[in-house]
Amino acid sequence: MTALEVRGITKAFRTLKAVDEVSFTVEHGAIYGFIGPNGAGKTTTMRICATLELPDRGDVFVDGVSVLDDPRRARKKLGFMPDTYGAYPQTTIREYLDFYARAYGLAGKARKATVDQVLAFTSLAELDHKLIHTLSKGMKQRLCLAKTMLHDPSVLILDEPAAGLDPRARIELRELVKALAAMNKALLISSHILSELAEMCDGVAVIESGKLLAQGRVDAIQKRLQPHHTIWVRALCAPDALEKALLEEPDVSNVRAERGGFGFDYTGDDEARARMLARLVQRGLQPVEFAGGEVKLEDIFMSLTEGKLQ
Amino acid sequence: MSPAEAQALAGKETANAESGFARWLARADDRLNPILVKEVRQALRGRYFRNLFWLTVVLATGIGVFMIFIANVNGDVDELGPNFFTATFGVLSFAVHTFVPFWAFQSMGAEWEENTYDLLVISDLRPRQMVLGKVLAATVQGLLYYSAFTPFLVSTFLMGGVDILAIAVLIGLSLLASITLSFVAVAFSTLGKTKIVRAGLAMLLAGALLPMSFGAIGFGTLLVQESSVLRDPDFLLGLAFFATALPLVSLFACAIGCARLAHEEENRSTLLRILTSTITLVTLGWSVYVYGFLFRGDAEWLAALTSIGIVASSAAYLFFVTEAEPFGRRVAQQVPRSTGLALLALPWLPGGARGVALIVVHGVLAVLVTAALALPLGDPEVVAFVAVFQLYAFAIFGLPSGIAAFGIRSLRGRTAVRVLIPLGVGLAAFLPALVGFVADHGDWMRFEHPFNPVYVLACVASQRWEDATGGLVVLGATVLFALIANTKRVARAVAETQRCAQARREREARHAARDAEPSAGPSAELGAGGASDAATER
Ligand SMILES: Nc1ncnc2c1ncn2[C@@H]1O[C@H](COP(=O)(O)OP(=O)(O)OP(=O)(O)O)[C@@H](O)[C@H]1O
Ligand SMILES: [Mg+2]
Repeated sequence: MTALEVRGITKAFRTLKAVDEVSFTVEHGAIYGFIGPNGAGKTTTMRICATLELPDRGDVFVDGVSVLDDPRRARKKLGFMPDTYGAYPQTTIREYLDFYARAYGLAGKARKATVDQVLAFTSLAELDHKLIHTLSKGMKQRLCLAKTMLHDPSVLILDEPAAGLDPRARIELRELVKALAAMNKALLISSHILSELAEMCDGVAVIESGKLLAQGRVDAIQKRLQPHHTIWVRALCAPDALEKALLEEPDVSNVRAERGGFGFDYTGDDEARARMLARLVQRGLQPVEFAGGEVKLEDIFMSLTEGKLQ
Repeated sequence: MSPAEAQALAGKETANAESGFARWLARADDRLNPILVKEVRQALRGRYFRNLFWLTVVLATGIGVFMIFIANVNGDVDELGPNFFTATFGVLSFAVHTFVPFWAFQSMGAEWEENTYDLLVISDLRPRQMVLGKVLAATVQGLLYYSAFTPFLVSTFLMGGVDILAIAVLIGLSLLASITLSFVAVAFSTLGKTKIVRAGLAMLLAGALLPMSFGAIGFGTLLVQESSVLRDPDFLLGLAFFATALPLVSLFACAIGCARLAHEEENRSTLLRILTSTITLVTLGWSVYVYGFLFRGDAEWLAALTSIGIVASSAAYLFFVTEAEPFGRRVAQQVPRSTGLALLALPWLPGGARGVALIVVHGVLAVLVTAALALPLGDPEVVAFVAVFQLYAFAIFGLPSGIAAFGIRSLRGRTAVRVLIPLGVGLAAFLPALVGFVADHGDWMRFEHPFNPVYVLACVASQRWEDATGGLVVLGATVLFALIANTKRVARAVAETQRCAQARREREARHAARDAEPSAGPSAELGAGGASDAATER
């Protein structure tokens, strides 16, 4: 069964359509990135999935349970980490988790064991006596993630979990997320830090002004959007000679000077690309670097959204 | 990670045998309300409550010592007991009837103000647990105050001049009132989430709680200094009425709080409707007892009691008659499967038209009970009074909401109708008075005109039928219009109820067929039932 199915949801705030006919699915064990510029409707979509907002139209199914028909059952299967949330004053980390564990109906030794487990999972075990309103932003993020995992949800929805984390904490978060996916959980993660999502996501959904612009595997979207690769080459020869040679090549367009070499768009396949490199060598241009062609989430994001931003 | 895994993990640790008491304690701990546990932990660590507590205790001691001193100086030791009692009970009354409920209000509001509510609501906590948790935490604080103050109060008995039974009755009632006020405060707190609205609510609540504390002090002084009232049947009846009203108010406030905290797709109306019916039945029961047995044939009591029932219910009526007409998707699936049962339950199901049906049911019930009681005793005018009263309820709530139901769908529009109904009644009484003032019409100027329900009811009660005629004609016309305005939506509500009952039967038949035939897929039930029209009209 699909872990998370968003089916044609629409939500308007007065005249503003925050979410407009958005549909996508996330499978168990998959990490799904949710990207879009500020105000695109990511948080609104996620809040609808988490039963915190009602859609005007459409429905969301969590493990086949509709968030409209049976919000209570859907909530049990869902873990949601909002982008902003408050912390109770005069409460320690352990008390905070103990409170939510009680709220989820965990009792006795099982409750203590579960709290210990999520504390260990998020490396908070040694800080468990600290008051939460004294915690740093990154520590609070971890605590919220720990809280989100208490009831062992099969679908996790994380709204900008990496916001405010230092580079080390980001890497740790990525490992946590991957570990969760390995436990066969479905994860929907929104973020502005695209490179971060690219490294861990199995698929992405790109949203702008409430409309879904593209979704699917990162490389598939890339192929659909840009039938060409971007290649960058640097050679020891005179720049003019290299540029002239590139312009003579078939399948090459949009040659531009970049970082002491030349970047260009290339539409040929890998074999043609190998032959081109061989020709550059034969002509005595002495190429020393010949790179590119990788899929970049930034590029997808920019090419999908830049038109709308104007 | 999963509870089962955790259980297994925990099982390894249970090598050392536990005492029965520790096990019992652990089990009790598991059953505690999570919010209560959280709040008490916070309060114990925080400085606010501790300081306030000691401050009040010191204040009460100070006042007591001061009064003993004054009494010794003046040499009149007779009045010492009652005065000392009033002083200490005064401080206690502010603590438990103002501070504690207000704390409950703030504590519920903090969930929104501190942005913790979203995490709370998606947890497995039920709205009931949230409301109860806040009230229980407030009650624990209240009990601390009582335990600190009871020695003071009882010592006034030793000083003489104070009745111990009166003290016991007073403390019991005061505790009941404190809990009720906390329920009301929490329910009040759920009414608004934005800063401005909350500030207004806080002022309103403080403005209501302070007089309550003063009232409690006045009541306490009366009870303690003239404890002979405890042998007055009229006073005892009032006390008993009060004592049954408090739990009902608590339940009602609790239900309002739960409805406000529940998911918008849940049924947020039925419980409140049942409670409103309970209030109607309890007041009718009181009228049977008082009118039929206690003060046999005292028509004023009967009229007063049935009026109290409807006045107490009218705030709830305001919400019932302005609810969205169609069932939500989830409620549509919960309609009883038998058509007969569904129609019987119709007045207690959500929806504006079904709210009008509830008013009619209550009205008919009240008139029937009154008639059964009053006619044999030869009091037909009481029946007339109650009937007119109920007709007013039907007209006042039915007409505006019936007209609005033709065009208004949005939440905002329905909220506007909720404000307009009481406003309209006020204007109907006030505008003719203004006209009378301009036209120099003496009766109208004194609010004695046919558009003022209070005047018309007063005429009916005192059997001045000639004065009441104009008002009864206006009432009759309004009732007629209200009937016309409501026919269509009530018919629609009945049809929808029948449809949902049938849809549920069909759905369950499908499920049964599928269970009998295991090869079918599991997702056939999605979107079933009479829910589609509700979804589009939301
Ligand atoms: N409660 C609300 N009332 C009115 N408008 C709202 C509300 N919530 C969101 N919006 C609007 O809906 C649009 C989408 O907001 P949303 O928070 O979903 O964007 P987002 O993609 O999460 O943005 P960001 O990247 O900045 O977090 C915005 O234009 C926002 O102003
Ligand atoms: Mg956002």
